[in-house]
Amino acid sequence: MNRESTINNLVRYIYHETDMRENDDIRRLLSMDADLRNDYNEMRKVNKMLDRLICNPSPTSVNIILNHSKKLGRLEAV
Amino acid sequence: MQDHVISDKELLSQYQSGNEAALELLITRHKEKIFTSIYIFVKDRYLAEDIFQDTFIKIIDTLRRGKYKEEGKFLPWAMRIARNLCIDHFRKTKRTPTITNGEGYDIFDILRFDTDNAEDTMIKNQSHDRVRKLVNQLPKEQKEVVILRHYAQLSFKEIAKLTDVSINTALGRMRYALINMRKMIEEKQIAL
Repeated sequence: MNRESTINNLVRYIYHETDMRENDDIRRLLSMDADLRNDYNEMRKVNKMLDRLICNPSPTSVNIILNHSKKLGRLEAV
Repeated sequence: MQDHVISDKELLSQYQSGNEAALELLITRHKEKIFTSIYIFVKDRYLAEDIFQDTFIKIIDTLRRGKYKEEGKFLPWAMRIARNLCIDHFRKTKRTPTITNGEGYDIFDILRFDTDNAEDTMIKNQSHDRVRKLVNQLPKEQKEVVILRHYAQLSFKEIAKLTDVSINTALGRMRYALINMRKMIEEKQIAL
């Protein structure tokens, strides 16, 4: 497996898309390769930073959606 | 209606049978991911609210017309609709998104926080502003994959299908996005 594939698998690992066998392989590689470990740690830091950007729509928007659905339901019932 | 025991598939089926509460639960479950993704795409609060509404109106209309074919999971379908609406908007306005401050605030003014004192809130606001700028400086394809994977929480396989690239390309874009953001942090000596 080349370096690019290994790093791609690290990305999948960070986002919990790897299976148990792959997890074992990745952990083994991380334990043996300091550069890979460094790449992983750097990507993890950025990943955690991105976790801070979360927001919600206003209650008004949600109510508009729900009211639209209820209105359609009333029209269909007529 | 309890959230944790009902799948999206079941909620959609219940909604199509006339249960409005099922729609509300579906929205509650996914609104954060969908809205955050739209907002980072378009960078304008008011526009994001409009597109969020339009996304769910399209979803509702499709479900009510019986056109939903269960082609996949709900969230990738919803994100496809949201993404297309964002792209349509940019095509109509023929511009790339710029940050607007309708009334002097933007996305990071309405982010959810734990309860903090004023100083902690200010520090967090500054940090969020830096993160926002980092994401916005990424090349378009990398920014898109960050939004779709990290905020919309689609799998790389779903992202590859949605953006019509191979899974390795999607992974590569994410890899370079993370590397580029790390480089920007080092170059600008940003404290996060």
